Amino acid sequence: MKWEEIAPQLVNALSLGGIYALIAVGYTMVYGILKLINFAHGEIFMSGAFVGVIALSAGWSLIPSIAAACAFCAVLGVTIDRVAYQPLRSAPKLAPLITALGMSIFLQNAAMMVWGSGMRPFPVLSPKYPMTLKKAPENSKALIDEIASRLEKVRDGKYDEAMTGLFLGEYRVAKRNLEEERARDAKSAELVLLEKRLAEARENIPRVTAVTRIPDGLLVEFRNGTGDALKTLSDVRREAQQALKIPRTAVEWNRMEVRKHVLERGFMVGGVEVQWKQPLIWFVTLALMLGLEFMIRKTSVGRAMRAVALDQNTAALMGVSVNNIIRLTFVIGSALAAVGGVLYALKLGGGVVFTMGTQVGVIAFSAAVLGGIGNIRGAALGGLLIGVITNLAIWKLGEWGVGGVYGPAIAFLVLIAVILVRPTGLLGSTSVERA
Amino acid sequence: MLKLNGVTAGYGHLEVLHGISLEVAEGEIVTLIGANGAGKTTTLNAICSLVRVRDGSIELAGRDITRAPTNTIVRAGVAQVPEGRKLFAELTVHENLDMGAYLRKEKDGVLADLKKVFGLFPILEERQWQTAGSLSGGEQQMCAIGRALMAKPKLLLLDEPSLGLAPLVCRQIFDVIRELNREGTTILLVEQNAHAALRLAHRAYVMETGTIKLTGKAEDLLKDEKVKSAYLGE
Ligand SMILES: Nc1ncnc2c1ncn2[C@@H]1O[C@H](COP(=O)(O)OP(=O)(O)OP(=O)(O)O)[C@@H](O)[C@H]1O
Ligand SMILES: [Mg+2]
Repeated sequence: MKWEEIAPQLVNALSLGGIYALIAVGYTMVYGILKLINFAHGEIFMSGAFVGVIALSAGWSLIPSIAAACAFCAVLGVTIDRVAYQPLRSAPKLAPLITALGMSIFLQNAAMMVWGSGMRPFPVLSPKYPMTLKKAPENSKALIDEIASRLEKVRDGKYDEAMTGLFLGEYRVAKRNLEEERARDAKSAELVLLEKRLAEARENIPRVTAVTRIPDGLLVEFRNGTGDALKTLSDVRREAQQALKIPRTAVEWNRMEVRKHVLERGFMVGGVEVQWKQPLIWFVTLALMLGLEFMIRKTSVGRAMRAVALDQNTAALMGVSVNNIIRLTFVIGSALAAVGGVLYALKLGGGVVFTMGTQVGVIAFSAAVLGGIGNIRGAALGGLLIGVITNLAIWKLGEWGVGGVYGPAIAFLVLIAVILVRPTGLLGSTSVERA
Repeated sequence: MLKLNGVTAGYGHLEVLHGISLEVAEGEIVTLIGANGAGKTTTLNAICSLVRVRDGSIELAGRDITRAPTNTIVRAGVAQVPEGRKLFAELTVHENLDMGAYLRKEKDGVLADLKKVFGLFPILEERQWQTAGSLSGGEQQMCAIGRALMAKPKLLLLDEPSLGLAPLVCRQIFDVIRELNREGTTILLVEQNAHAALRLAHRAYVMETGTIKLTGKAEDLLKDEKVKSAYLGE
């Protein structure tokens, strides 16, 4: 195996592992305190991803979008606890497990109703220009007027996609219309005039004369009027899409440069390209994990959380409000899942869909079990391991011609193998059920 | 300071306390003695709302605290050394003591009390960074008492603090209780060691199957024939 092959896989694996770790922590914290598997946690992750993508699509930048997702999920998590778990605190443990499953199904369906059943695409982070696709006018004169008026703007130096992108199509429509009209009425004086105007317009339609690659983008040069176009605008857009792997709408026509957003760009290390968003994911994950670790180990609230996890009644005797600590647990776990959701959407770049919580949820839950459920460091370790194993498995299986979909299956095999040897997980306490 | 009026409580369908009335005045040491299963622990837990009070009422310093959330009762100045110590086994000794002071904001006062606890039980200072679960039974008991002291309570509820302790340590713990009382802490003490408890306390209640059977001055009960035969083994 060559470094060039394995490095990108590792980069991916670490990001994915970090995201799994963020989600696994939520499972493990709630389990630690309530001895309950919060099956709705995957849906909290999904909701976080949705809120993040919606905020980004509305033009918010990354940090406010993540903050919005966190706030939304924190409220959602506490509400889930209040509605589905708190009434069952003293019930047998099976009861809240069933409401947890119900909650998960309910939230998935609610998400489908509110956010739709289709994939919601991850927005282009690059600056965009609004595309005003007007319906082409019916009659030839109006169409030619439209072309002419746009050309006016082009002459003023105001290129934008709405103007330039549609020239050729509309030119063709107008030309066909004129030919049809000509066939019906060969001698119309008005037609002659229109034909003349259209021919003039043809000369002035901006043409792409050169497309060159520049760092992180394409430089597109236009020339008005004479000479044949090297390419049509749609050719350039297709090229941009293929060369840069960004949607066509990302093209900044007015500066005639195509640039990627910083997070979509990359940098080279040792001959391997790493996208900026990957180290961003590592950094955010690491910072949050260290922050959480500090809070749990060193602050009075963190100590109270550990005390509640060990013995709720005695913690109450210390003056701890057990319900507040439980609520705080849901707030922290849900907010971390929200961050995980937005980062996951950012990493994959494709989009979000209401069912995404199920698979990721199961994988993150396995990560929590692998590390030792109830143990926060274990969840972090488990998440990282599962991320790396899944990623490498998908890659290798792909190379051997086995479908990459079996990647998670490999992760589960590893989980089963570890649990057989160490039933409490890697960092779990050795007693089977803590008192 | 503390007043129970006809308190009824229990677990599920089982009623354990059948209308308990007792009173602890400010500055007093009152002991609650009785056979195993009489309901002493249940009484203390009812005071702290860890067991739901079904009927009757509980007053603390004139305020009704019946079924108030446990943490508000603690905030009002009640601390309990629970039966069986109930330390947070995976937390260090130091962290356990810190938990006792959870509601206190004055850092200096907490630090002074930590010094005081270490003064009373020097072994805790030596062991402060090891987990509470790794302490010996007697050390755990000291830690549990120390943890309650860290709350600087006005009313201290002790549930069998001498259980399983060597006679010397036992005497030390009773000395600590007397000292605390002298400093102004009101004490309600549940004890199996009736003899020691009656010698320490000002007043006593004798409990039998969920009811108060007898009450009086501790010194009088020490001489009471029924008490002698049933609880003092004389
Ligand atoms: N959690 C519980 N669930 C059900 N019954 C309980 C529970 N705790 C105590 N009991 C019952 O309540 C009765 C009183 O128990 P309690 O612990 O108050 O007695 P006690 O006076 O403290 O006894 P000991 O001296 O042995 O500590 C007992 O019959 C016991 O079986
Ligand atoms: Mg008892």
